[in-house]
Amino acid sequence: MNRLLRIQLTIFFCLYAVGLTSQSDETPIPADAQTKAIAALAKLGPKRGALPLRAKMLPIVGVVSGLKSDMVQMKKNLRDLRARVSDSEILIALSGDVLFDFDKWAIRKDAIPMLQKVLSVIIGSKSQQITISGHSDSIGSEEYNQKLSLKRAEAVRDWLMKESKLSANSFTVAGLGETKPIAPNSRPDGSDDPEGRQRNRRVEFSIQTLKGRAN
Amino acid sequence: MNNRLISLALVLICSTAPMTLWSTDAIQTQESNQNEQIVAELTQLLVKDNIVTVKLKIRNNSTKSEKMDWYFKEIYLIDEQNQKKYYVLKDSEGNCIAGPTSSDADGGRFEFWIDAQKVRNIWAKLPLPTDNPDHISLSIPGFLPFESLQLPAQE
Repeated sequence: MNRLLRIQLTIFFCLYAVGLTSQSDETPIPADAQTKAIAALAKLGPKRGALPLRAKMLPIVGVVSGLKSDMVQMKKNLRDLRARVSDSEILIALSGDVLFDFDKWAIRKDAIPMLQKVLSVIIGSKSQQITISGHSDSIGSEEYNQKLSLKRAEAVRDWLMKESKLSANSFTVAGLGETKPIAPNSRPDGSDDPEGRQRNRRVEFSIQTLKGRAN
Repeated sequence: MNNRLISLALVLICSTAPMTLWSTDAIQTQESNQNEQIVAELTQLLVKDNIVTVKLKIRNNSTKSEKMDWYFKEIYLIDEQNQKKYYVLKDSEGNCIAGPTSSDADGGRFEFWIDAQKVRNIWAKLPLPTDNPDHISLSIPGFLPFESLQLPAQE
């Protein structure tokens, strides 16, 4: 095989390898999805579940000063907290490493500005239904992680109540421990994945919005 | 002679393979409304049995992992001409006919981290609008809407 051919083969395999690794994991549509969809569509009837496309209009009942700046601040807080806003709720996840020291459930002073933003969002949303769930990584026993994550969620709730007029009835608190990871705790070869574990150590806020409660 | 033929074939493959492997063939691309480095590419819009199947690639063009989190029940088609919207179809158990899901919560939740420079594929099945609109829009949570999409003929 001449030299030119060897070079070309090398280039080809390099390009092929790069091409393969840059691809995502394809998630195939399940074989029964279309059958299920046909059944679902039949159930919806001739209107196929169509809903009117019109914005819900709220009556203006008074003049509110500073509304624009409040909205701007709310948007900024949501952006800073990387909040996920849907029709029915606002989801916020804060890193456990930011909120707490290792193995502790006392809120760090550094975390207060972040929690103040969460509180602003809660007050701005006028929500009376907030779920706070604590999550841990997989280091330690399940029982210990569940207890620690619950204590951390409770600490956050207590801080929010102390800083506002929100009552305990507005909150649901859960310690989910290591049961709901959002990232792998270990790598495919079985070794530790500290980045993944760091993501899993978190406190999540689900703030039910007015629109969500109406549904 | 053989070497020349192999060389020629490799040159042809090399010139087309990367294009094939890397091409996205997006019908339309929209940015995330929270992070402009995250984009959603609509790669398929298929109509069969009065059902619209959409496939998308969520691409993280940033240099760090980003978390995506939404419920599939929030995906819908808009028929602006007739002022109607159509939500993603649900099976008999109330689960959205869409995926991939991280949990069955609220009909199916999409809660995944997408690593830097990586892609996640999603799909969903929705009703075909009843009034045969010329164009539709597609709303995916967290992204600007895909607008003025032309529906293909039914298969």
